[in-house]
Amino acid sequence: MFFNIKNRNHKNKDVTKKNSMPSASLEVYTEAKLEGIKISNSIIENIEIINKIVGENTDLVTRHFTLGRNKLIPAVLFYFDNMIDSAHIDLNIIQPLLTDAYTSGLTTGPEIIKAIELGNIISRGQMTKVNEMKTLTNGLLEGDAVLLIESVNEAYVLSAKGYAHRAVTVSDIEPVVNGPKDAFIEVLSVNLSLIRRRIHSPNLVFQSLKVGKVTQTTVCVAYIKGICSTELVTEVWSRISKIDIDGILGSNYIEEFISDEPFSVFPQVRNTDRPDVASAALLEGRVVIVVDNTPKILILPGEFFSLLQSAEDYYNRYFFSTVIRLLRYLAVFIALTLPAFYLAAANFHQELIPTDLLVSIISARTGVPFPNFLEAFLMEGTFEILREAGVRLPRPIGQAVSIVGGLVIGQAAVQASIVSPLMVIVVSLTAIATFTIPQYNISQSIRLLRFPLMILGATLGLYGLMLGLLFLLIHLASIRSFGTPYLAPLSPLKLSDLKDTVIRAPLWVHIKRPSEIARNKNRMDSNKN
Amino acid sequence: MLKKEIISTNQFVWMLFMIITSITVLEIPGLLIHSVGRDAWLAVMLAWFFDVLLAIVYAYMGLRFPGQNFIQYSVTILGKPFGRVLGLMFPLFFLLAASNLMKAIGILLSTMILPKTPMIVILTLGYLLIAYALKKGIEVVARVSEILSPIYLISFILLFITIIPSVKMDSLKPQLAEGFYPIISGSLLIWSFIGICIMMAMYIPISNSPSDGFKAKFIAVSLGAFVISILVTFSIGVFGSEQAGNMINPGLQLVRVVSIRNINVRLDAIWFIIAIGAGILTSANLIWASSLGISQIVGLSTHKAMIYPVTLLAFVISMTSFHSSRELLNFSLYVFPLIGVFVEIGLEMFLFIMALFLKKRG
Amino acid sequence: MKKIMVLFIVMTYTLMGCSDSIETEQLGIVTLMGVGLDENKDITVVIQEKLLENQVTGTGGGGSTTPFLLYKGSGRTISEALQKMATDAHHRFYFSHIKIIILDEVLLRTNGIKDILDFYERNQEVRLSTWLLISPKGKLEKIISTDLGYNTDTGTILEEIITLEKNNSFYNYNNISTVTEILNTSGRELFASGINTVCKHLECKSSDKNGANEKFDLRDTAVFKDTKMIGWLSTEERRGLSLITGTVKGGEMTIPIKNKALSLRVTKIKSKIEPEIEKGKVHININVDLTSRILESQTKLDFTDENTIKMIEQIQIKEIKKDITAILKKSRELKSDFLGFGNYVNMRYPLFWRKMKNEWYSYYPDIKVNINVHSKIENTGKVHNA
Repeated sequence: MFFNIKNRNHKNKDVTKKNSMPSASLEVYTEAKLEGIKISNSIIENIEIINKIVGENTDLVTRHFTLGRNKLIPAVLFYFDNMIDSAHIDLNIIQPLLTDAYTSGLTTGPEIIKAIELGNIISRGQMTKVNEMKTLTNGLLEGDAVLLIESVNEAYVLSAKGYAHRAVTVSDIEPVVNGPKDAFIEVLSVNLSLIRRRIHSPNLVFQSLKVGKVTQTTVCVAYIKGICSTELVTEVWSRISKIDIDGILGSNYIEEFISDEPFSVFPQVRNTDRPDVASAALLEGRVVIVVDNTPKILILPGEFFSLLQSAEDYYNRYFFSTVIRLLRYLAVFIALTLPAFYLAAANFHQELIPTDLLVSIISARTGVPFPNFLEAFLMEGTFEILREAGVRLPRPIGQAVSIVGGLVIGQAAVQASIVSPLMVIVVSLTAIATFTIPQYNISQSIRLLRFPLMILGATLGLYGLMLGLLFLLIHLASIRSFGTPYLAPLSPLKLSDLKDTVIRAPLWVHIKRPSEIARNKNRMDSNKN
Repeated sequence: MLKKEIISTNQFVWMLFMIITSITVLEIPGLLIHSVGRDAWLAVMLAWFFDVLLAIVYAYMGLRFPGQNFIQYSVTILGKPFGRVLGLMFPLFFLLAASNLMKAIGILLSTMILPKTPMIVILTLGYLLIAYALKKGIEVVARVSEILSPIYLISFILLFITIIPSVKMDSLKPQLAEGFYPIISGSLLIWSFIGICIMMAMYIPISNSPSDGFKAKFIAVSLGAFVISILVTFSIGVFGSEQAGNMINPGLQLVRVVSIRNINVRLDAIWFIIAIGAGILTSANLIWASSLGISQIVGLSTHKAMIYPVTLLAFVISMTSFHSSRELLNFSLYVFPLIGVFVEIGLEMFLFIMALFLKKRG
Repeated sequence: MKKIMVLFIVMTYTLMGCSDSIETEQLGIVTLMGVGLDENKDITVVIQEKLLENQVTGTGGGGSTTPFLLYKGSGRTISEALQKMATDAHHRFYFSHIKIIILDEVLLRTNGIKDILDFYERNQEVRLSTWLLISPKGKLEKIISTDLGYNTDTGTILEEIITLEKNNSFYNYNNISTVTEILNTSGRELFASGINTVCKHLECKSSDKNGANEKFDLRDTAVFKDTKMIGWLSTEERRGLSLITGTVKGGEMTIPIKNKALSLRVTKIKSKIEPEIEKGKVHININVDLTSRILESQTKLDFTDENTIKMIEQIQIKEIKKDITAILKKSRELKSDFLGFGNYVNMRYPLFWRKMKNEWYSYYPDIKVNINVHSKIENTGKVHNA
């Protein structure tokens, strides 16, 4: 349909009005089609081809000029507006070619070309010569400037990337009190530099590949040679390169494609936006995947306990960190089972509840029209709705949600006898417990799993709850994340690894790296003997 | 996915401990006290001693026929037709033990916490869980056991610590009032139950260090015997031998009287549920052994195909057998020990002697 | 598809499990249960259901004025009586929170305790750690219906009294578990604590019916023979009993010194009963070790003097011996071995016991008993002398 209209317009060129659809070539250039087109000697031909490929874009800047005072040689510079830093273009490319060349005594075109060949004129750092149209367009689309010169069958791709981006700011998702505060941003190169700044090792490797047929997003795999096992890197690389998708817009696109158990509720990859966490993971022998245009990077393998760790654990004194860690595990357990346990106890095992508490539960529930189970679902559901509303709303309005939510859930619902005050306590305790989980993705899984457990607890009591938990345990034990058992090091048990899992032992005790992951297990020299 | 499944020694120990403890704790402490009285702990100790002796035979056979479980080596020793018939006894015994245990769990659940829930609901859900666990493989079951068993052991230890103030050691006197006969008969009873750890012969071939088989078994049986003997001792110490022997499950009653500083701690259901969880996992282990054994006898390359039929069979046996707790009681007291002793001791000793006699090696 | 099928089965099955679910507000929490006999020799059961705070409206309003509700019914068994009661209650009675069970004297004297206990042992809701008390003849209903005005149910009050007094006085409290154990033990008879109401104030008008001026008294101890109750103990006998059986951990006792009084707190009691057989005859050695401290002294004694302490210790020993002799005498009179001598013989000489088990009571009154009491006073309080 659409194509037909365009076609007609194209044919009736003469009658086009001022604001009508500008002519656009209908040719679609796929990777395969670009393959094999060489850059020719004739600049006019080259310009024609480039115009054919990307010429209809308004943000494409074509700057024609000639080189030399004598023997003029036409040249052209292509770039996308705002993808490059125009100051760089002016100062380091155009100015040297047009003015500086003469001051240094080069007057003829060929002389200048020779000087360019030697790398003496253009003062921009990154300059590559390409002879294929495909690489040329790729460079152009990534924000490089392309210089074409008559009678040279190569093009110069000059890096002058300078698009607008966020500054490196404080981490929003994983804030810490002590410890470094910088966070990744959307720009891949900046993110890599944040890691490189922390690990000055020649063995730190960043290798990148392009994923996404249309978006051609750069995905960078980072690891430390000698610490990380090569099988892991190969596996990660092969899984990423197998991804067949048109576009990658966030790192979780990658995560969904490379997870071992796609049907599991549990995330098998750790996310972070903190360069220090990424560096720590690299030092443990893990692989880090940095995706362009995403501040969230992926850490592999992501086992269960690594998902429950916070960066803060390593910046506080170990006594405190240990206590906090244990408390966090308790919180996870509470978040998962408290509503279900409450339902099981209130509906089946009233003897578990101390007499006075049971009496107050009963008196709180007199006048509440719904059965316990419905009441619990109502409250938990409302809470999830409120939370979702709070996240979705623009920040200034978000405040209103909490006020309304607090009033509606906390006060009015109780006064109207729709819910009992005890249920409010249970729900809010559960909610607060989920807030202690540092990883957002696993806290989502736990929030979700609460509901089936509630059903089981309300229908079969503790037996149902036990069946549910056992099911979860079996499921967790069966998952592997990139070859590492998901519950490692608790099961299969590695006693030496528990000191950084169950507790946070002092750093000088961490002689070894996690045994399931790292290839070189010795963290300290003292362990060599 | 045809990678060979391997369990570590640690998992070996915990699995075996869980099997021994849950099959005994959930089924027989009351019976044992009933038939042995105050000397129940002596019977447990005696059974432990016998069992360790038996374990030597099993460990030796495991090493003599490396990579083979007793079903396989019974075929190796006795040749195909006869070995297969004999070997079939083991998986059938496991099947019986598993369905018996599940039924016991069902009866306990319906007397203690879910009186009105139909038995079919309790059992179906339990067996679905078992099927799910076995579909994931024995390695996964081993890992779950490795987490659940320590919790189980800790729950016992906590129970013991908190119950100590209520234990009256005087209730254990007089010892040996009835002579040795009840102790020996009682030890046979309990031996047939802790003898279920002939499961070790199924684990040795998949263990990552088969030579540790005896060590693992020894630790597991000792832990199990320790827990059981303390449990029966404390039950007698708290309730007296008559009353404890009269109870369906003295362990659970023990948790119900735990009080800390005169305040009754009402956590019995939680302890009970942990025990039930361990019981279900134990059944999963037994059904795994059974399906593996049957598939080996039939000659299948993988036991995965046998899992669902065997689970279903166990479910049907559990559903149709024992219409009352009394029938289960009689079965556990008279029939099961006979079968147990026959399979656990008789068959294995027969195989052992035949292996020596025919000079067969694996 | 297969997964959806499994999920469907799980869902239907879990929902079938709902049959055991009960909403909390449908429960009637029973905290106290009394069992007695009525005129037709049927069992009467009186239970007290704890009322919720918002159901108690005090003097005004339409709610109940007492913090509990009473239900009464009778039948041939406890279950039958409860069944009859349940028809006129709007709650399902829930017995897991029973704190106290009160049994009537008449019932225990005529029917015995064993048949009654079976209900509590068999029922999965009742806990074996529930306390058991015995009410004197005809007082059962009065005790259960008395509202002391503390705005809480009687069961809770009684439990609090028992937990408070258990370790600090010479009273003998038993729970169901202990009672059953004693009943099942060879060579031992049962004793159990009683309950009564007495006046709270010094002057008590008998016309006062609302109970606000009364309080509970849990000092009495009833003794049994062959599951049937046969009598009550006096104060001295009670103390003797608890000293011998070692069921208490300490308590207060006052001894006379030179016409004045001295109060001691016994902080540690260690009692040991050792049977001994000599020439086919049984002796019983009772060893009681006491540790006490001085609570209050009206005398002018010098407690820094070692001899004074020795003298006090001697007087205390004499008092204790008097108590023990009293209980022994009572036990022989009633021909009931509630001190458990037979059980100790059984523990020590099981073969001997098996022979003489059946004619134990023909020997019992003539058994020689040696009483050894040691006392140690180790603390005189905050001051040395008065």
